[in-house]
Amino acid sequence: MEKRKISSLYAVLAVIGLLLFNYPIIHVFQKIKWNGIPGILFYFCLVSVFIVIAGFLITRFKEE
Amino acid sequence: MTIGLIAIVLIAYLAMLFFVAYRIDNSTRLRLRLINSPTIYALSLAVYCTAWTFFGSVGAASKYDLEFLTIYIGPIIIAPFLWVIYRKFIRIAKAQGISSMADFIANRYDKSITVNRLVTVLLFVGIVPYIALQITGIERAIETLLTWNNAQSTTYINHFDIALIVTIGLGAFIVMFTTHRFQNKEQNTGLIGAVAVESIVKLLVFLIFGIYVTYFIFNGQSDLYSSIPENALTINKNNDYGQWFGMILLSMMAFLFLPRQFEMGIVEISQERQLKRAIWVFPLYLVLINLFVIPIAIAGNQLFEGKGIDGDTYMLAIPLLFNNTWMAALVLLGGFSAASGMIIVSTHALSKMVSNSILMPVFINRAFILNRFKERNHKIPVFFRRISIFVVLISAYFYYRFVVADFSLISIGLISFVAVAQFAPAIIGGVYWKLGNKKGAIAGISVGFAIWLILLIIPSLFSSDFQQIYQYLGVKNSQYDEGALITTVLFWSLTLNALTYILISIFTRQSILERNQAMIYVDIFKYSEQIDSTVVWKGKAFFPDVRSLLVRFLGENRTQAELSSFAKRQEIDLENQQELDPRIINFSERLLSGIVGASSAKILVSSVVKEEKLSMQDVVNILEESQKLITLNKQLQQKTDELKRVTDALKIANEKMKETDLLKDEFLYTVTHEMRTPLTSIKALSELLEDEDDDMPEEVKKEFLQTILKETNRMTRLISQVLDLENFESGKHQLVIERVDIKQLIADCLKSLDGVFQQEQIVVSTEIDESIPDLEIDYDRIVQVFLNILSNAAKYCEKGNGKVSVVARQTTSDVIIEISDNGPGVKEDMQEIIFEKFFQAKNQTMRKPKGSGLGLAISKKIIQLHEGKIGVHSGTPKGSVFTFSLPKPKNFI
Repeated sequence: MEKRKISSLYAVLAVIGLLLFNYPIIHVFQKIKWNGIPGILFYFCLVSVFIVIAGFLITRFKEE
Repeated sequence: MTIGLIAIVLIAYLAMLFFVAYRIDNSTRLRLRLINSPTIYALSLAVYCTAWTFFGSVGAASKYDLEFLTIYIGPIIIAPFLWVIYRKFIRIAKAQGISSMADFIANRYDKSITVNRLVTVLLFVGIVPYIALQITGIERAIETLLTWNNAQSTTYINHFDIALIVTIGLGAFIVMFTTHRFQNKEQNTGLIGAVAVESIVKLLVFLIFGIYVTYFIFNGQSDLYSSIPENALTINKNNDYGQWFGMILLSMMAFLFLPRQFEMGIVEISQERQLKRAIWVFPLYLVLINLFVIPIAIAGNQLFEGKGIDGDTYMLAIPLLFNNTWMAALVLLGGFSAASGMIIVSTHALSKMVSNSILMPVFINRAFILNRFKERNHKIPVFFRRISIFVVLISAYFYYRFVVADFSLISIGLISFVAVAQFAPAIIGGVYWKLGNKKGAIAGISVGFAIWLILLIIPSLFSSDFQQIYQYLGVKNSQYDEGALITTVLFWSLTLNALTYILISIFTRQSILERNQAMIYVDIFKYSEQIDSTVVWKGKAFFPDVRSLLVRFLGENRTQAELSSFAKRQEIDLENQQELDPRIINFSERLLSGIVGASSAKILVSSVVKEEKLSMQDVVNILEESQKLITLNKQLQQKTDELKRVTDALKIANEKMKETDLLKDEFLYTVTHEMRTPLTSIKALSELLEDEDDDMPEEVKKEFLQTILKETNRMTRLISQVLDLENFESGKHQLVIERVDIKQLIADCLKSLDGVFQQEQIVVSTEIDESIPDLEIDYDRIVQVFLNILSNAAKYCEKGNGKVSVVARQTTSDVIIEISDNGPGVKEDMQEIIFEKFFQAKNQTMRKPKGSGLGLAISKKIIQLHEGKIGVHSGTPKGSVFTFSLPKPKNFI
């Protein structure tokens, strides 16, 4: 993949992260519980793992 | 816990760190592996997690306030973006020989010593409290261990200043492992290795302790979470999402611009590709280290309800409550590891700036220093660096003793974060905006810091109670917490800082050198290869002066090696330097900059060269030259790429030609072989007829003559087919297009082969769409295609039970003919290639019935000339189906 496209993907991932960790999405999860665990903590963990995995996958693209 | 055990744990840990750093420093193999390891690099970035993470996070979480998580969410979000932003920083730092954050900012802004000093002083003011926080973390941990159920232990605390002992121990480590590598360009591998080990230790300890509390003291996470009151967990005191967002932004900036992150992330990196692993390993690390923070905090709240135990000490108080001394010792180790890693790297980074930007530029050319270090000038940076380490650590110690003691760990950290965020406009602007200038940067940073100082630092000198700080600031009966104050100060300081920077940069002018640096910083990926060719310098200098200056600090051998290699790269003749080439001066300054810092290097080089003021024309000339060079390089690269493409195409064409040549040879061989068989038969029979006596019966003679005729026909057919194919290929053959009733054509073909089908006992069925219109085709050639496919079908059909079917149907634009048989079929991998004219030649091993093997190739050509398509697929349940299409006349479409 083109270098610029890969850089753009990293930037997009960061922006998605910023959106997912902020209002109003987190507001929704504040009211939820999952197996007794507050939903917001579970959600934070999930989004963080998503960023880790997506970051890992983007690093797999070979630069042209 | 006894003082003895604590001392043993800490001394053993420090000894282990010394051993690790020493082993790495003294083993070339280990050093090389570590320098290039992306995992070690990612772990070294985890120096971000300090005592604040280890003890402070649990303290903050004990208030059921999730705001502490923003400190980690910010870096998790920004981690993927490191590839974009850090890569640019790294490229600039490596190209400019930058060794500190102050140099990075100052080099962009006119290589200004003033900017360098301003950044250093402000970072010193901003970071020393943070180092003090780590000392506090260690001291509080030890105090908790000693005084737990043992009031007598306070005697030890009164007699021994534990914080001072720890500070001295860490100071010794920093001196030993960060001040001995001035003579080469290598990274401080011992330091990197030690920090990576510390990152592993603190993570493992946190996970072990988290599992111990959650699953051994309590019955898992659900058990713990069920004890929290409903809706107790809030994102901050007032559930303010704006404040939450502000804290995330703050931690993003802190992660990017904290000197210790800059040191490990940019100065100590050896290859840009190491960043790639950090992009996902570092956020993963942050997730893991925070996994048990809230469960531990809830456990602490349950166990110490109403006992007045500070949340910051839960990590130690819990194992002590259960008399688990070893677990307490382990936690102490983890906490010490987290704090010491930060102290070591921050002190190293800060002392480098203090030494290079403040002490050395003042003293480096003073007679008493030069006399003291006669013949040993390379010891000057070491001497000043050691003094700086002492200055930084002692300042942190005094700050801890007189100011910090009453603050929570989180508060001090956040105050430092706001301080480093003030460099964001100057750095981001410097790297992405060419118009940003020195005056703008100085003014912006000063405004930002002034607000920080007035609203956060000065009030904190009088009180550690944030409500009281609000009162000092004129806000009475405030409902807000420290987070609100931090984000408010961040907003105002950063906004005014950025505005000042932008406005002053727009309304004031850049110097020529500054413009050059701006161009290099902003377009570093364009200039990094030509950095030595874009030197804006004019003046007089002599090679021996510059060389002897380099020898003073680098030594004879390294000077010689560096200069020779540079001269070779740049094609400079070092022997004939009447007036020294500006590229050598620039290179020398960069070399010295790596050892004594940018400011001192500038002063040292200025002392041996006579710089003249540049006119605008000089600059234009220099820039034109470098632009030409860049254009030439680009053109050369384009030509090389083009040449490579052409060579590759030629290679492929050559391979194809070779293959075609080989196939033609094989084809010729096959054709001549096919012709030789009938010829041999004709010759033999003709000789027999010539030599015959009258006793040969007439029937035999007749049979011989019939065979000769048959073989001659076979040869004629073969030659006609070869000629046909050649005519089609070369375009000599023209189709004779006429309107033809395809239904009639099919009937004619079937009739002409009727004898063959009967002889082979083949049942022929047809399914013809009677509404098919007349087609515009070459009658004879399409008949040839039909006969060829039908005779093939007859040849391959099942003996005695053969079935051939002909279907003609139409689509909007084409007439489709399908001829199927119940023979053995054509293998899937052969379905494409049976239409190739050299197919038989390539497949000598396959079973071939009678025929030249050119029929299908000719059929394909004929159909293509009619703008149709031909193909074959397997029949159901067996056999093959040959399909070809012929376009309808245009008025029928």
